[in-house]
Formats: sequence, C-alpha cells, structure tokens
Amino acid sequence: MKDPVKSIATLLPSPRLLPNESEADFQSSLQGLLSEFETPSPLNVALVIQLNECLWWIKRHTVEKELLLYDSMAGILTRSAEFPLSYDNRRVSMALEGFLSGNAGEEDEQWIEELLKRAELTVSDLRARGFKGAYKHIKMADDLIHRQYQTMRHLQKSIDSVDFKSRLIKRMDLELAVLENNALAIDAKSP
Amino acid sequence: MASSQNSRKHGLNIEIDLESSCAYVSLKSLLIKEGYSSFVAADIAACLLNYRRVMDAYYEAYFRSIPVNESIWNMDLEGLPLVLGEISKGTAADSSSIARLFGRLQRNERRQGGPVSRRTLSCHKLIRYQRHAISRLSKVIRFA
Repeated sequence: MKDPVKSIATLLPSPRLLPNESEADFQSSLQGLLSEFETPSPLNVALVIQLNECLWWIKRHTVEKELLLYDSMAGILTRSAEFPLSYDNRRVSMALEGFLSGNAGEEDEQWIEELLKRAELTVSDLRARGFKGAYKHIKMADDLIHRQYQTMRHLQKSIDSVDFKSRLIKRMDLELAVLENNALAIDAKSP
Repeated sequence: MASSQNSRKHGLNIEIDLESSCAYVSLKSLLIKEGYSSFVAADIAACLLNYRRVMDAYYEAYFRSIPVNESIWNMDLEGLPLVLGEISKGTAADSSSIARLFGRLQRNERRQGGPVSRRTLSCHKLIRYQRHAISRLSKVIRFA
C-alpha cells in the first residue's frame, strides 16, 4: 500500500514554515500525532497535518504575545531614559530580556535598574504598564490563539468521524463476510 | 469599506474555480477510492483546498505584513522646520506645513506599532475566513 502521508502530501499544499523553523521538527511532531492511529486513512492524514499546523500557530502566537509585552515594556523604559524612540527599542529590549530572564550581564543589570529608578517603577509596575500599553495587540494575539484551539476542536471531531466511519465499514465488512460464510455453510448442508 | 479593501488584498473574497485544479481532481478520486460517494468526495476535496487557501493567506499575512518604515519612525521632527526652511528657502508657513505632514506620517507609522504588532493585526483580519473554512470542512466530513 502507498504511504498515505506521501500520497496526501503530493495532492494537498503543505503548511509553510517560517525561515527559522525546522522542517524536521514539524515532521517529527506530525509523526507523533499520526502514531496514535493504527492505519490512518489519507483523509485523516490530511486532517492531522492541519491539526499539527494549528499547534505550530499556537506556539508562534504565544511567543509573539510575550514579545508584544516586552516591546511595550522596553518602550516605556526607552521613553523614561530619553533615548530616541526607535520601533524596536533594540538596546533596551535586549537588556530587558536578559534582565527578566536572569541572564543579564552585570552592566546591563545595573543599567536596567537605573532605568527603572529613573522611571520610578518596579518590575511589576513596568509589567502592568507594559500590559496596559500593548493590551489591544495582546488581546488580538489571544484571539488568534483561541481561534487555533477552536479549529483544532473542529479537526478533532472530523478525525473522530472519519475514524469511526472506517471502523464501522470494517465491522460491516466482517459481519457481511460472516453472513456469507453462514449462507454458504447452509447451502453446503442442504440436501 | 476597510473590510472590502482587506479582502481584496488577500483575495479570499474572490470565488476561485477549485474544481478545475489537478489537486481537486486527484483528491476527489482518492476520496472516492476510500469509499466516499462522488458528491461527498467532491465537497470534502473543495472544502479541504479552500481551507488550505485560507491558511496560505494567513501565512502570507503573517510573513509579509507591512514593514516598519524606520526612517519615518525615527525622524527628528523638532529640528525639521529649520532644516526644511534652509533647504527649500520657502516661507516659514510652507516649512511648517511640510513638517506637519511629516508629523502626521510619523504618528500613523508609530500607531501601527512594531513588526510583531503588525503581524498580529494582519493575521487577526483573517480570523473569520479561517472560522468559515474550518466549519464548512468539518460539517461536510461529519455529515458525510
């Protein structure tokens, strides 16, 4: 039998990955999902590929949600430091990221503490203000994540339905075969 | 209307003839081999291809959102009227109206936010297309 993954991949356009993402990772997560099936039908393979793509979109949007907050926080610190306000506030962003993850160098750590002092903010104040500033876009990122979850639910129901139908067809085939055998047996017995 | 401009940009409001594509024909015959009736197979194939079309547009919206115009974003507006006055040798009123125009451009640019905000906004516009596409696909499969 032809591999259903390959046969569907040639017919249906595959989900596209971002330049920094690994095709091998995508395939390995797809194989993980497909391993739940004994013999997946081509339609189920197609649906599982879409489901895997949803999982990847959830990961992407979750990372971006955090980035939106960092950008907003960096913007607040940049304004307080009276630096020219650039779109990515690169200098502050990088130092802040290190500071919040506990990986900042001594110089960066002192610098961020100095900026916080100048802005008269604590880290949690900054986080709250950053959230307020980026609320509109964070809410949009949440909507996007929610949409992917809902899409996954639709896909799961469809997969269940296809799986149930194929099991039902197999069972009916077996029952028909038994009935045919019985009929033959009766024919053989009859004088 | 803004929404109609958006849909023109990603092309999802345009009905395309999926049924004449090779992918549709092959997908349909594969589904018929799986035991689906011709009508159901045709519906599932069309809905699957339509869903992929939406998700490809979603990817494009994410990957090719409007880039930040760094020069406008970072433009120093305070010294601009003076610079413009020197360059154009026009009246002060001309310089300040050009400066106002640049100011408006900068506000518009900054209002859209950085690259992440722009990507999020672009994808957000496609939510309803994804919702329609998946609900049609799921309905066709479940009631087949």
